[in-house]
Amino acid sequence: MSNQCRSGFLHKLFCFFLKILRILHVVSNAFYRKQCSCELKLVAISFNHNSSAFSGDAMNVRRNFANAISVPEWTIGKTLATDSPAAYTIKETQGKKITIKVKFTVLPKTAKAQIKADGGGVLGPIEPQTVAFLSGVSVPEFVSFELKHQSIGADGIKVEDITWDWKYRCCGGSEWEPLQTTHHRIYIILEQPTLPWKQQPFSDTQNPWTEALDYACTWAAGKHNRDDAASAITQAVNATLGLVYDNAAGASHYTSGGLALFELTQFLNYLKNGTGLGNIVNCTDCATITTTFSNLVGCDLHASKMGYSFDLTPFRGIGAAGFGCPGFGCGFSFHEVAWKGAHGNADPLFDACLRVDGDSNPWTAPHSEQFPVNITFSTNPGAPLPLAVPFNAQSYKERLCTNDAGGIGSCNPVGPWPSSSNGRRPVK
Amino acid sequence: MINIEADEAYRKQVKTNYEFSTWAGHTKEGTADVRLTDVRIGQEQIKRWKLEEAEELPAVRQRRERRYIYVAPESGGRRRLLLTTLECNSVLDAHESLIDVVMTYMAPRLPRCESKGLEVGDICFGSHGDANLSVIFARFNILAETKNAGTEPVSVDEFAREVDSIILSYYGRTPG
Repeated sequence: MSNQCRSGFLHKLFCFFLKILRILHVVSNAFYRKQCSCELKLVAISFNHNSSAFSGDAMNVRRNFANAISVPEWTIGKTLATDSPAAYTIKETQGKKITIKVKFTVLPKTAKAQIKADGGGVLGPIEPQTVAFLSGVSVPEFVSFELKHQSIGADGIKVEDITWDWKYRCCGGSEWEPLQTTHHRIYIILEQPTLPWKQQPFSDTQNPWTEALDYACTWAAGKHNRDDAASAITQAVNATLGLVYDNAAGASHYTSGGLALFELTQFLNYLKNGTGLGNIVNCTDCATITTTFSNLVGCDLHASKMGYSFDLTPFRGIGAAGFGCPGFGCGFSFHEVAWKGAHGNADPLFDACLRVDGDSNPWTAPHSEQFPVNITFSTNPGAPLPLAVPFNAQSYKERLCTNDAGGIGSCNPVGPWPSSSNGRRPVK
Repeated sequence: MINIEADEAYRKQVKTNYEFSTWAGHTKEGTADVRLTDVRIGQEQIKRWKLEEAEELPAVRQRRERRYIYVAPESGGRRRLLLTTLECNSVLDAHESLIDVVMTYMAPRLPRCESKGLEVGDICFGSHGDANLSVIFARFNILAETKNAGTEPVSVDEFAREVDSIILSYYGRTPG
């Protein structure tokens, strides 16, 4: 093949007739391509092409604690969507021009080509764009393509495997030629993840993990705001993962370093194959799991405790068949939940460790279970005890504790454990 | 805001609950200045349990922490135990660390192991219920915590005895 494309009206006319002859099987595809096309290769696609920002591209992510994700995310040979992941935030990208950057090579070396991609799911199809080449490589090396048809945010939080069917035409060819089919896993979250997750520095073990996003985006799928997302994640942790409460002692299984770290790698092992550190958890674990996964999709929770030493009204512990008390009795030395704001009386919380009695008399049977999600810690903390029945306030501690001084009267906000990085335990 | 005063008061309460003053600093063998180092619980040392994973965890206040995951091979992974050991700076430090750990338990107090027929360590606490599904004990300056982590919980008594005997064997190797 020569080093340059032929061009001009006569060549286009020649190619038009050649196309017809090809359709009629008078000439071969190879002959048509040699005369009227080029040898184009899609070499790489970069989603996170600006690691210092994420309003016009994907954000910084890594696969897990041990494995970073290199950019460009897609390169020749990658066939699985999971091998080419990208994550976008709804809030920061709203109304912004979002681009990917793509590298191509070509023969002949000075061709120009029109390139487009069909499909694309949430990122949409890519409109035709003319790409220039110098010495067989696209100019600039990574060409910017605007995602004009993306629908980030329309369906709220989501994880979606998308496919782009890339096509091209060049050297006077009038027909779109298939170039490459690429697969990508796209995560859509509400806004920038909060601690323990960090965007900077990059690359860092505390950058959002795609292996955790796989779960968080599934549990909170379709949610458009923080409260709904955290509620969905709390309920998923409580009801769908096979976790059970440590009735023997109420000990944490998924923290280490004196409650300083969240053993997320082990927890993902549990989610994937039932191994890790097992299915037994306590309140610290539940609060940490809820906080970490919720904050990964853009919520702003922290694990904080209430205490100390208070009596309990029957509740339905995580993994339990019905209402009752823990195996060690009807009392907690402390309790830890995923809390909003400044973990005060008026601040709402999310508790994946148990379900409370949600009816107008939470201190006696029959019990009507209620997920404690986005519920105020105490709507009337100084009220004289015992409280009157019917009790209809959506107020957490009153539904958790006995209706007396040893229960409601002894359960007060304390704050995060001192070693817990303000209740946002780093992940390992 | 973290309520440090409440945490301190709580720690004192936990010490009272566990009658700390009656056992703190005491050992059953040797003296209170025994300090074992580099204690490792190996693969072949625990009968009927297979070591799946051993990991050196980030140090806790300069104390070396190791976690071991054991599975019962015949259970198909349903019987699973976690063992965490903490090498403390002294016997008393191990006993203070025991308080640090049990104050993170939601159970207000735990029974002494002796009350459930288990004699391990210099001080040991088991769990509520018929069988000990978890045990925490200190032997010299080593704090050991064993917990069930499988879907088929089992008594950890025999396992704890073997761990204790391994720790004691290090004492036997200590020169002088």
